[in-house]
Amino acid sequence: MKTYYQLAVDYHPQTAWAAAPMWLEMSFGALGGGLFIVSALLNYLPGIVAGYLLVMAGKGLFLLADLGKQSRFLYVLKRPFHSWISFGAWAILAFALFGLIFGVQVLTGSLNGFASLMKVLALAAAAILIVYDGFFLAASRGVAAWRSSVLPVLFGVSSLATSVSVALALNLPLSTFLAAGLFVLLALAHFSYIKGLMGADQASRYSADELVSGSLKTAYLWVAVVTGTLLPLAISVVALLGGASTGLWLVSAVCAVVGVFALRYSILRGGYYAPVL
Amino acid sequence: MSYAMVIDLKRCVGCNACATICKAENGTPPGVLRSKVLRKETGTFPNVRRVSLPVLCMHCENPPCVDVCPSGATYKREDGIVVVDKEVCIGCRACMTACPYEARYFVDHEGGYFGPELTPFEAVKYGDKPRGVVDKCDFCLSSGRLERGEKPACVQNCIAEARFFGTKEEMAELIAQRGGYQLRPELDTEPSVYYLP
Repeated sequence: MKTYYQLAVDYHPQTAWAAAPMWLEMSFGALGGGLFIVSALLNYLPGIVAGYLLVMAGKGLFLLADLGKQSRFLYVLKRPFHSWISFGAWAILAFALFGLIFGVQVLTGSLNGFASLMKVLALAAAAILIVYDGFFLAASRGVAAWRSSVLPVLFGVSSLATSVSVALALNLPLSTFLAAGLFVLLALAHFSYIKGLMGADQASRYSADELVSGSLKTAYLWVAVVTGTLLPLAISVVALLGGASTGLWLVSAVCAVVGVFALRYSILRGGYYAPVL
Repeated sequence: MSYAMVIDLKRCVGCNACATICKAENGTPPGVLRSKVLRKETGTFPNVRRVSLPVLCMHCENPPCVDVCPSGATYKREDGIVVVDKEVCIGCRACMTACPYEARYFVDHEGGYFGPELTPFEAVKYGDKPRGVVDKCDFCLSSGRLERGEKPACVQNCIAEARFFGTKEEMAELIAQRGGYQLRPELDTEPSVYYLP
């Protein structure tokens, strides 16, 4: 077992954001935000409600649980133009307000101009929610593997692809081509992220090795990439060629959802500090 | 006026007196090391070299921790010292991942060094380091040494007199003479702690 000093003079993983609440809140935010976006565009109330609850209850609770001082959570709103975490907190607040109003409008069938405005604002907030995780990770100068402009894209596409997959499993009127296209984009984003790490500094290469062939190979390569991206992509292609059953879309959706969790888990765990000495 | 610290690596023997006295002066809880000494051995016998590197908060000119703090708890004072306001810190730990020098610690202790019941010393010293916030070196600002005109405890108590502390203007000549360098300059953090080779 490595001692503290051995860890500090060697490449070692970050531990500040390694605990479960962090990757769970990121994952619930991604799932909820994406599901809300897809459902809102289709005016599909159950999806709107589910997406809303996933964000507010799932992301909200785990976000609070992750803070050291939960009673001061409102302080997180103080610097929205400096800190991505603060900006994201405002997005959660906006989503809470506009998403709720829009949901009520849909429930009561009042789809007027005001409802459309609420829809646009809620969608904008949800769009921020599914990508801002990538931005606040990229702001962490201490962890080289997170300083990638691909991360927000990877997180955003992962969220949308999963949501479309879930929507197709629910027999919602969405194009199979859309699902296939998003999973192709997701696969490309994974490839681009790893390729970027391999061509960057030593700490980034170390992270890439861990993700692809090291201790995180199962979580990242096998679950996030193969199960969460390639398998749903294969099902989408099958659907394009000859049609897929609801059962097959359900498999795709489950795999994609598991992939969302595995992706965020492995990115957080795969963040390594370069040794100071 | 901005403070700076210079550490002479030719003099440093890696005794950890600085880390120990920092613990005693600031009364940091278990798991919190405001000052520590890293050691690395390179080469193979008989050509082995051991390097000791005292590290602490670099009090950077461009502190990445200040940029990412969502609550404004972390800020840089006019005298160059980067501090954490424990009354405002929400414990999100964004500053910890932002710091490339791993100079920050999350206060997550239960009890003290000798069990769940705090000693009288710990009961006093842990008061300004509540659980759930982030702590780091502040050049002994919170212990009152700077106010009393004293140097930080690690500087005062270094047995090899390997540490120097003063304003950047006072340290400039020493840094220039001995070719002082900063850690990880490629990150543009502009640390206020310099090392003499």
